[in-house]
Amino acid sequence: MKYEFKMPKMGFSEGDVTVTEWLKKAGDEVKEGDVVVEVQGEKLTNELEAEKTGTITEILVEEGTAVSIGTVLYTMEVK
Amino acid sequence: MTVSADVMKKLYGDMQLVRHFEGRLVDLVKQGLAPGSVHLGLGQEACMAGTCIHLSDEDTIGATHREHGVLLCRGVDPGRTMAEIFGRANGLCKGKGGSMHTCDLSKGCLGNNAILGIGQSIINGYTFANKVRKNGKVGVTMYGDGASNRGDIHEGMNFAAIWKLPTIFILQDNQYAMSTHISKSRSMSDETKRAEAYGIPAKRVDGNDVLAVMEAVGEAVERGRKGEGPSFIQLDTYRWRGHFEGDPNTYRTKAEIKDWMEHNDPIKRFEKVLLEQKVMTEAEMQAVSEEKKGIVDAAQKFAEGSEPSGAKEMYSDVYYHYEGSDK
Repeated sequence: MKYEFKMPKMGFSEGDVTVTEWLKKAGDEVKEGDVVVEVQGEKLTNELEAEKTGTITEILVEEGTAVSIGTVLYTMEVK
Repeated sequence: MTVSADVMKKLYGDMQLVRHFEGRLVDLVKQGLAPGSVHLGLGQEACMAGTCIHLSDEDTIGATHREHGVLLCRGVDPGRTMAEIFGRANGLCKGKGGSMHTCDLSKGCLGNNAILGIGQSIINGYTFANKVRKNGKVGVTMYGDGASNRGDIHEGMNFAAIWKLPTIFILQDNQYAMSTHISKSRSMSDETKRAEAYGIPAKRVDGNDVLAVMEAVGEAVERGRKGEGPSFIQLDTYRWRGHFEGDPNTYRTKAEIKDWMEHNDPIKRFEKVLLEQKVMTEAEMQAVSEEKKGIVDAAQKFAEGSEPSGAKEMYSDVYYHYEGSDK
């Protein structure tokens, strides 16, 4: 089953959040709770964890790119 | 203490409603539906349910920015509460208060207040009026371990003590003031000594044991109603989520959070009691959980279907018009 991970709202941040570093790549197996990507908002740096267990199929945002809340960051094939 | 089956079922229902409501907010906040910042009290449901069970609409309760659950346990409409958190016109405060400033005065519920450590002064105003009117009503102020170190708390305790006000000070000690653990902000873990220094009867109980909370708060409420003055209760508990939704939680380990969630969940602990005392069956508890989930489904639908609070509301409720003031 395909699953899309969307940029969450964090704290007061209403504006764009920058993807700073991918810790996983397409093809990687991840477990729920594994850190997949690091992002930076107005005041925060957050490690975003996988919400499901499965395989990452596609990374959709390059490092250094600022995106709005709700933007799909990566897709997964969920087990 | 003997607690009737009906009261135990009410406590369980209230805790389940708070759990479902706030659990839903975890996902809804991520989607960007709630403007501003949202602070959840997941894991602290027993403190809220065990306190609110004693209060009537004529009593007054004021809490922190982490107390959507107090509103729900006081019987405030979940749909209008969710709409307020979303900043919608149908919200309790027309969408102008948001998560951190939600209230319903018709339920004696001053609701959430993000200005931490001042609630007891506001409640003292209500309880002073109660004392003058001799109406037997009480006021409850709930605050956290961070606010407990503020000078205002001590002023509030002093006033309540010298005037023998029916104010009930409830410290929800969830161990972290934002990211600061109590071991770094207090020289002692037992706060009852501070209250006792003002001559206020004080008790410390397990805040994740809803019956212990209910018993302690019950004694305090009775004392207040009889005109015997203020009380202090320390409730030891733990917040499951970050200080706010989006908090990276880097000041504590995942193992610590997991341990509390798995081994000290106030709802799971109460379920054991309900089963042991044959108050409810597993099937009945499941049915309550489903019912509360349905209430939250309806609340979400109501909130999502409500219009955003408009710019025209910016200037309403700003000035109070006194009769004859325009003459």
